[in-house]
Amino acid sequence: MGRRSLILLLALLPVAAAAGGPSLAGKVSLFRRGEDGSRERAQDASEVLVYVTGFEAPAPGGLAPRMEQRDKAFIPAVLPVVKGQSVEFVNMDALLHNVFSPSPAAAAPGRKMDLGKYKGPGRVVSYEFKRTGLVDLYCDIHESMRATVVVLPNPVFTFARRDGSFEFPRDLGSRQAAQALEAHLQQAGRIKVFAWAKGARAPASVELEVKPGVALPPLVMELEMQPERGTHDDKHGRPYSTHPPGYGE
Amino acid sequence: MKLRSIRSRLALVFGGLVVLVLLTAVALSRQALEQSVRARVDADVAGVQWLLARDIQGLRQLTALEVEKAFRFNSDVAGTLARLVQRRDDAALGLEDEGEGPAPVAVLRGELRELIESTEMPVLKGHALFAVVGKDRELVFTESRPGSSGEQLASTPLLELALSGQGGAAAWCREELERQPVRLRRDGGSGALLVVAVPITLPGGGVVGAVLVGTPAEQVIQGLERSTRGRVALVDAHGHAITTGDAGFREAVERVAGERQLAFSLGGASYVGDGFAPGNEVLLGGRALLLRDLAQEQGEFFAAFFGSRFLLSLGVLGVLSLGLTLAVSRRLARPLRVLESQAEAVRQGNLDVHVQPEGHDEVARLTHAFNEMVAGLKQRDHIKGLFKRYLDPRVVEQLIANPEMASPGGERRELTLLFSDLAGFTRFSERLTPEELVRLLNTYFGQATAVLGRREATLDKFIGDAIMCFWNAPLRDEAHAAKGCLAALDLLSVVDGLRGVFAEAGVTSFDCRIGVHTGAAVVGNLGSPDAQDYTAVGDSVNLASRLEGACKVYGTRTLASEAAVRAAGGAVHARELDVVRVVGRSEPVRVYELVGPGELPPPPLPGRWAEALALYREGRFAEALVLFQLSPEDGPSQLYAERCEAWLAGPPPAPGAWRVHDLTSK
Repeated sequence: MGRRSLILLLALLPVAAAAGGPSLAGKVSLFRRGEDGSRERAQDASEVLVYVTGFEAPAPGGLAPRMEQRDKAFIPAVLPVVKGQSVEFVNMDALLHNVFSPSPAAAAPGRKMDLGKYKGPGRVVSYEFKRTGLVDLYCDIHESMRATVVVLPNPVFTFARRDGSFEFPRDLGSRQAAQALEAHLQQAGRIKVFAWAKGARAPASVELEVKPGVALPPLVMELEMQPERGTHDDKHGRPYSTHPPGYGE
Repeated sequence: MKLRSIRSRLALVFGGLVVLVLLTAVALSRQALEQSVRARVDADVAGVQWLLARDIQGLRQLTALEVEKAFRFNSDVAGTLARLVQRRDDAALGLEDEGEGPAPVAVLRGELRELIESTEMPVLKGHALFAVVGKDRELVFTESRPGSSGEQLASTPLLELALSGQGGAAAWCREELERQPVRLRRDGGSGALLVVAVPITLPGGGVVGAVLVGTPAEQVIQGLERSTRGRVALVDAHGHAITTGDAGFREAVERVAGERQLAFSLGGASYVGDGFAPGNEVLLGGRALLLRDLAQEQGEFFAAFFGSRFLLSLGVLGVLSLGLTLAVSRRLARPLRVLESQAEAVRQGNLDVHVQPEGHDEVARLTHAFNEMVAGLKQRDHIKGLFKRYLDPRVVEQLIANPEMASPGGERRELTLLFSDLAGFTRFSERLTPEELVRLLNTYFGQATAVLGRREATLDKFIGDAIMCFWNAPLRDEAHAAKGCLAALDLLSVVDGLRGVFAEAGVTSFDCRIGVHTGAAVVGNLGSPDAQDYTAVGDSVNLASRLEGACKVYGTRTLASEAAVRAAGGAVHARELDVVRVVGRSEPVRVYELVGPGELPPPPLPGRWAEALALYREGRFAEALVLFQLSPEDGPSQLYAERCEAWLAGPPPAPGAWRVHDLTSK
């Protein structure tokens, strides 16, 4: 351990220190709307992603975010990353899988994101997301596989707790993130916080004025999930049903 | 004009009937036409529904095809739109990358507009409305204002439907268009549009927007109205009507659009209609109506109805009915005319007419009745001819009513017969002018027949100044003997009454003799077929005549047989005169003089008549003679006195020979 432990320890220090600094806390209420129009409060709000925009900060170093293809599913289904980060796509199935995205945030100029076909288990393909935005990921072979990479401008983000509450900087995963938030709070004078979950009708956002020495009020946000609907086409813009038998073998 | 003939009346009736039938036909066809128009509207509505669906679905499919081509397979447009949409999503998430990454929304929007403008979309761009709308109803592109976009359109059911991924079509009336913040019609028109909305889906899935294409509703309606009879109206989800033509019609349609029975009148037109809801794919939340002008349809129908063919038919019908009328009336009138001429013949006295009836109709029955009538007249004439001497017209009427009572064959019956003769009249006849003679006789006969008529006698014949009549035929009469005897007394009164009149003419000494007898005789129509008389013949007739003659012998005015007196019962008082045996008859007959009606007390007999007669019967002539000579003015007494003297003078007669007197003269 030795040096490595020390680094870890040092890394945790600012978190602890920052805990004494300005903090940002709140709660997101998540509602689900059924097909029949009913609106129900969700028991588990841990799929809600809370993030702060308005400034860019690099991702903390360390292990690259991973998204696995396992049992014909992307895991996790929603993966927040920081702009400039590379995501490792690991095929854990003994099958051919593909990753493509029609989303402009993932595209290189004049070219859509397409990682080609590769077979697992264990094969890893890495892709760097250079622009912020939502990136819908699909597999050209398996229609049911879908995931979203949320490319955020900075590492100040977290998934809410089960009850929907969150607290910055405590919930942030890294010291750099806490520092970035603190720095942003000090210079911006304003802060914009978003809450979003995949399938939400619209994101929730709150903009606050930040005054030195004044504690920020707890944020109260509400998200409404829509019943999932719609289909998507394959990477050629054709329905999956047009695939010949053995497509992707 | 007076309608004197059957023919003209029939023509009038036929003509009236034709007119009535025509009017009824017109009224019935009016009703039938209305039902037929309603039924046809109901049927044609299906056609309109099909045509409207074809128009709108056609536009929708064309739009969808071009949207597919332009927004999905044109990678530039599709990609730019996708990027725009995604960027807008990202922007909403606060993740719009202002740096060197993907272009920001505004840039993308400009790029997209240029791309759409430069892309060939002949179907979409040719329309009065062409707009591309992004998610959240953001107006991405419109041809009406190429430079502007980004406004958010007002929410409409059609837009929401399209943005939820379903296509559809709706009618946007002027009010609906004016709700939008941007003028969407590019052709400058302000009328209603039929708008087709096609969602734009991205290859990656999800709806990113919609394309709106609108075509002037009036054109579509005109197209529909060209393909069907009647007016077509579209009613949008808010109840606004879209029609061709003036606002009055549109407002009238709006008033009735929600009603079940579509019917309204507007300025002389009377509309009936039917409606249907074409559904979200054709007319979101709206209804289409087919209205037909009943008045116009009726007008057209009757214009055709009363056209040349009708007039031709009317002419043919008129000629036909006229011909038919003439034929029928001729057929009807012919036997009537025959009847008329034959009736004229009857009027002139000819009863030998007979009209042959044709068929069995009323005219035939009338003909039959006419024949019967003529036959009845003939029979009446016949009876009257036969019984012209019957005195009492009531008897004649009874006989006419019961012709069988005058059985022409002849019949044996008990009759009371009366013969009357004027005695001493002929002596004066040479001194009288014929005119005076006829006048006096006619006066007598007039009064005598009147008296006999009152006693209901059947007058048989006049022979010179003699009268023969009888009773109990042809009509039966129980009191025939009494009536005969009383009639005899009445005739005496007539003669007595006429003495003055006759004396003026110089006829001073005249009287009448009357014989009455009751007995069996044969009565019937005797004579040649052309000249028959109803008369009585037989022994009894002869006896009555002999009795009349015998009055001279006895010097009495009347002489009645015992049978007549007995049969008369108490109706008359009679004096027994004698027992006589007339010529040609072996049986002696007891004879009486009628001396007065039974209702009066009996007049006194002359002298001691009964006593004298009894003495004479016993053959005590000398004693009887004395008694008979007591009344020399009495004819019978004188006769008996002479007989007594003869018996006394002559040899004694055979016993009883004096009791029966033989009449030697007729």
